Amino acid sequence: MRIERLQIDGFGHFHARDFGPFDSPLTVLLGPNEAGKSTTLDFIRTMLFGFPARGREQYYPPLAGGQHGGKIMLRGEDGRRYIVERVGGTRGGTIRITTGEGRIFETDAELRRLLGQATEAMYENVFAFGLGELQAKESLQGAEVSGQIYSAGLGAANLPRALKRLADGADAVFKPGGSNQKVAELLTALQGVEARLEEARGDSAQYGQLSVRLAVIAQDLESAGVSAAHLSRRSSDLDRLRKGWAEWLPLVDLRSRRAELPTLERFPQSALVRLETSEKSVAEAETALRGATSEADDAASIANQHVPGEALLADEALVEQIRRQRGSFDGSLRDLPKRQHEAAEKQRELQASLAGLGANWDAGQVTAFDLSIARRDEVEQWRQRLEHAERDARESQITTRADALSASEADETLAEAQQALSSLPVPGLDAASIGERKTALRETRTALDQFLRAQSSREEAERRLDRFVAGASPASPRAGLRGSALGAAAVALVAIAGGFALGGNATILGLLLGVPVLGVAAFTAKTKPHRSADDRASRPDDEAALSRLALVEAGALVRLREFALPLGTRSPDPAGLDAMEFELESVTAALNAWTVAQERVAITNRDFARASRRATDAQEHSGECERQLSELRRDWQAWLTELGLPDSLAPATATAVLDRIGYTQTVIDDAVAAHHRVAAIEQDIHKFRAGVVELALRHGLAVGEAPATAGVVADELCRRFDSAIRAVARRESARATLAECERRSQACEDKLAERRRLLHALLAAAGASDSEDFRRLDALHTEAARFDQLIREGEQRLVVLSGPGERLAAFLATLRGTTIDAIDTEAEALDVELQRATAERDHLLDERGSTSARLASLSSDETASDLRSQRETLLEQLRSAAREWSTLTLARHLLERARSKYEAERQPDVIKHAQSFFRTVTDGRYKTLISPLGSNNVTIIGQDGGHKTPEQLSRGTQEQLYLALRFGLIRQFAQTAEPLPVVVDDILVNFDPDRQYRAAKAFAELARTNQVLVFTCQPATAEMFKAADPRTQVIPFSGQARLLG
Amino acid sequence: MTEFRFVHAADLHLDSPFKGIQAVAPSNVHARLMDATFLAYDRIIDLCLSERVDALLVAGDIYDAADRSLKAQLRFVDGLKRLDAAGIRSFVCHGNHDPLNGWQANLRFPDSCHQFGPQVEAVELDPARPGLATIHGVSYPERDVKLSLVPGFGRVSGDAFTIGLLHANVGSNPHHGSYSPCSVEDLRATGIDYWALGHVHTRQVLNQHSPVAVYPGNPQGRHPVETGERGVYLVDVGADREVRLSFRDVSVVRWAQVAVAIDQLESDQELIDAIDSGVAAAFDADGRDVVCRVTVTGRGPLYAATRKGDFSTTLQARINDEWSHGAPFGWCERVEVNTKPAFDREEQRQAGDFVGDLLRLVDDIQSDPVQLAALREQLGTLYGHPRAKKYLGSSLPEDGELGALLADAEARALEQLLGVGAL
Repeated sequence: MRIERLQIDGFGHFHARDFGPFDSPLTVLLGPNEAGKSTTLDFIRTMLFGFPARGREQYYPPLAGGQHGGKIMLRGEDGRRYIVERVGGTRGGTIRITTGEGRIFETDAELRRLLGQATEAMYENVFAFGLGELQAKESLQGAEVSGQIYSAGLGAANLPRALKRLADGADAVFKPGGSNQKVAELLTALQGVEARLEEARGDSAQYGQLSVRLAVIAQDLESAGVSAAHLSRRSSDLDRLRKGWAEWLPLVDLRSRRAELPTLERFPQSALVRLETSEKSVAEAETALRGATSEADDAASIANQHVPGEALLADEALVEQIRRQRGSFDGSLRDLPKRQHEAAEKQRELQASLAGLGANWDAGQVTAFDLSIARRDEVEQWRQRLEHAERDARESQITTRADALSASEADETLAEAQQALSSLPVPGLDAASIGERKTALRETRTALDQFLRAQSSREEAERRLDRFVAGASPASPRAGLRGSALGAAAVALVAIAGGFALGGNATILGLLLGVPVLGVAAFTAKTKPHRSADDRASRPDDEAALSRLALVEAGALVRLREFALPLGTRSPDPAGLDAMEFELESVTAALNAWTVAQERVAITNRDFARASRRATDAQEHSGECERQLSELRRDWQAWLTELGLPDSLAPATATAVLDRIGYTQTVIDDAVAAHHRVAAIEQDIHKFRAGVVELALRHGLAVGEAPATAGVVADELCRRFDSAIRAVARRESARATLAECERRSQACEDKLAERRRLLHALLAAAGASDSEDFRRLDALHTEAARFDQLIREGEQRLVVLSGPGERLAAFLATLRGTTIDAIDTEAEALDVELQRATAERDHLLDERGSTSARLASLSSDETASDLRSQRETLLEQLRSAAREWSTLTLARHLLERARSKYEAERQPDVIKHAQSFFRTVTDGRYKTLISPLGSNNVTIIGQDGGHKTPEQLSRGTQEQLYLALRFGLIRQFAQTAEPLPVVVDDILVNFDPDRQYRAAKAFAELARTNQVLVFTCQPATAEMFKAADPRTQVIPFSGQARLLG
Repeated sequence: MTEFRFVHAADLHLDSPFKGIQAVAPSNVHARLMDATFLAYDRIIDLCLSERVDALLVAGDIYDAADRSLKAQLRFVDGLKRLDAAGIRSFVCHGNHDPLNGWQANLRFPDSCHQFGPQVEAVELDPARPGLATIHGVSYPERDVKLSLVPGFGRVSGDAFTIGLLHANVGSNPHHGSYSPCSVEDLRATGIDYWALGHVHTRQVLNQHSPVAVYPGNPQGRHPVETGERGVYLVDVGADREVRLSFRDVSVVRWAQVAVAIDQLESDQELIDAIDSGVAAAFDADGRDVVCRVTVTGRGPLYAATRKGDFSTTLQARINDEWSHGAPFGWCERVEVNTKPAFDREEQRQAGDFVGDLLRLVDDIQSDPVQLAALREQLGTLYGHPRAKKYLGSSLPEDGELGALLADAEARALEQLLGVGAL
């Protein structure tokens, strides 16, 4: 395979660069440092094997632009052409391979085939390398050297490292004798789990034993239960005997003592209590009888008493009336003088108020006067109407005075305006005339400017003609005459033209002036000499131009005079026009002032007429207001008179009079009311006193004349009445009490008799003669009953201990047949036996509990299950580890065997080729290379037969050795695959010139099979390659590369 | 019309640990796995009660005697007592894992349970209905019963429906130990109508008629390869002696294998989607808990991604984070990567470089039994190691497995040689 061309789109600082074609088998690319040789070398590698998987962004980014990547044109050994295009991207970048036949491949499979399946590492180490790669090998030591080289040759640069990693990986999993490896740790863990499982199995074995033991315990417990029950029963018997003994002995004593007491068969129950109760009730009945008798005596003494003043009770209604009026009577006595004084005061106030209204007013008139709201509203309406009329009259008078003043002022202003107008001169021109003159002035000024420019042009032309005439024949005195003739002709023409333009006399004048002048000009022109050849060429032009300018000037003059005609001048000049314009501005200002004064007179005249009309109208309106006011006042006075009021009253005064009348009406009402109150009080006093006098006389009391004595007598009558009421009530109450006491005395007597009968019946029932005897008999009866109770209780306790009936009899018989000592002795012995049996049973119960618990624990123990689960997990991990170890071990085994096979089968060729090259380069100084089978080392045998290792060689010779090994590998590779291009970058710098040349020769030899591209910055190196092979193509690298497109 | 009915179960392996799991399960999963065989057995008892069967037949390997698990035996007896209380009889024979000479706790079985001894016995299915059905059975006296026990059944006769209860390898199933080896023909020769077999963990009906020979399989899978439904057969026998089989899944935890091939996948996301999809399908198991193993296989551009050091653990953690905490749970016990590089092996094999030499060498070894034997011997360093032999002695790779191992080794060697990214 050959590289024919490189096209870099964007790669490092290269952009749109084209290298090639590389036609020769050996091509030297010569360029200075930093020209991009290494970049180009990496571009070739990248195109063939792709962009790196990582750090692509930093890998020769297209700094100068373009798409990251480019093209490489290849030609296979079969002559087929390939264009490999690759751009940056994942997985080595996007590749597109196009063949010469137009086939397109989107994957790199075809390229890999073309590369003989060489790996990138292999290509980089063997086929495309620089000094760096070469020197990197130099740093390797001993066995690693050839290992690396061979690995590179194998297409597996990582072989030593791969073998080491696989070995390390396998050793980390398992190593015979090791203890820290994964397998060893798992085995240790497994053994631990199994040991614990064995313990758990022991626990399970216990289960059967414990089950049997539990059954035995159950039987023992049953036997112990029977025995304990027997002992317990006997112990209970003895206990009962002992208790029975304690009961039985006192019972015998009680029976003996009871026999000594009598038996009172019918003695009453609770006799003593009943006796004391009966005696107590008799005593209580006697006390009650005495109390009732005493109370009856007290009531009888009151019931028979006399009540004084009892007759007054018959006049109860009269007394109650006096009592009700008593308080009012005192109040009337106190109030009467004050009310009499008030009545007198009101009368005086009434007289005064009537006097205030005038002599003609009395109480009747005042009372009858209408003071309604309607009347008051009438007065208010009168007041408003009068006020309105008075205000209108006042305001019309003010307006009349103001308007008269305004008319007087307008008259004065009109006089002033007329005087100002008469003082101004009357203008000579009107505005239209002034406008026409201004237009004529502006047009005349424009025409004058045109005329002056035409005149100036004509004069300039004349001066040029004069200078021409003078220049053409300076010695000829007639030159000036001819110029003058022409100027005169021009003036004549202007004059004639101006005359025709102005018309009339001006035409004639133009002809009179122009014709003679024109004749003089013609004469002068006929006398001119012959011109030189050059003069003849230009003179007719100047003369014609002068004639044209003269005609233009004449035309301008005609227009000037035509425009100046309205201004009244035939020869206007700038100064005259300026004076005319100034005068015209003055006339315009005077016309403006006169017009303003005239307008002011007209305005003031109109103002005066309006003010005069307003003054007349105001005077008429004022007279009308006065008339209406007088009429209204007359109506008001008539209304007052109709009411009986003075007609001189103003509305406000009339309102005050009405108020005064209203006040007097109130005073009259108050005076009448005061007199009525005094009369009523006096009547009340009289009526009270008459009643008191009547009642007092009937019950023997006297009443004095003074009004107050009636009150004192009334009070006495009431007091006597009240006292009689209370005494009668007390007497009636005593009489009722007496009857009740008499009834109660009788009841007490009956109760006492009954209770005494019951007491005697109780004594009789007990057979007692009296109470004392009764108490003695009761004491005997109580004692006997107590003994009987004790005996019954003792017998009952014995029944409780023994049981009733025959069992009691047997129990008593047993008691009679033994002693307490015998019972105690047997009980003590039995206690000892019972304690022993209980302890034994407790022990069995404890054992049964613990055994049951242990069985329950064993049956529910999860430990063994957990351990088995752990064991399975560990076993699986162990199997997995074993498989991992097996994989790594087999992988290593495969690599080692493959390497051995490779070394055994292929190394001789590599070494043979390398040896040949090394010998050539060193000029036979080193003739043999040896790499023993199974060894990674290379031994170099010198001319003298001495052996050396690579590190014993000089630096340059080492590099030659490594280059030789690469040559061997390249040759060997070519035997099984397509020969690949070899690309080297300045690798000969450490070689001496002689060996450089020999190496160059070797490369030339290699170029017979493999294309060789040499990058160098040394022109001498290029020359050397050229010398080594004249067919060598040297391409200047930096400046000669063509731009794409 | 059903004359009588029974449940046929086998290989309960109560309290036996799950095998093939190398990851430590989270606590909820661990607890469930520990209890799974018991819960499955409880479901068998519940099935007997709900279906009101006449009997429960258990064809051996009730527990692993070597484990001496009290819990297993107690729970087994507890279940039989529940049946006894409901008037359901039970018939039990013992197999290679629980032979008669194996350790047994001193437990009392209910009277309605019949345990077959070392000699073939025949007992009435229901003493109250004599002549209805007779059960013939035998237990392993010891673990290693290498001769067929079928001859001991002789030739049965009579009108009663006959059932043979036996733990045996019928048809020499290569995946199970060769205990009491026999053939269907051997079974047919006995004249027994229904063979209630045990030993093979995958359910199968060996013979449909005359006799009906059935393996119900184990009711709870205990190994990654024991996938799918697991349970027992509910057997109805009609008056015409017709047998109707109805399989009932009683498993608590289901095993599942999720295989994802990278051959057609282009991106990491596609791989994750494929795995997620497979896992979601596997975890949909009728409300059962599921333990799954994900296996990534094939050749493709994603080979490098699958070979990253943390690929398996990251993927496993991702799956378990999402699925293992719920109820029912889905737990991925392992992500196994068996991918191969995408490169054209045949083409590389033709290359004249070292890689070509390596591939040709592998092919040579694969086809050479002598070289394979040498490799096995080399692996004996570990598998025959005094400490490891006890645990790994039986795991030394056989030829087929060695071939797969060699392929893995080839891939691993290429990885190290060329770098994962270059493959």
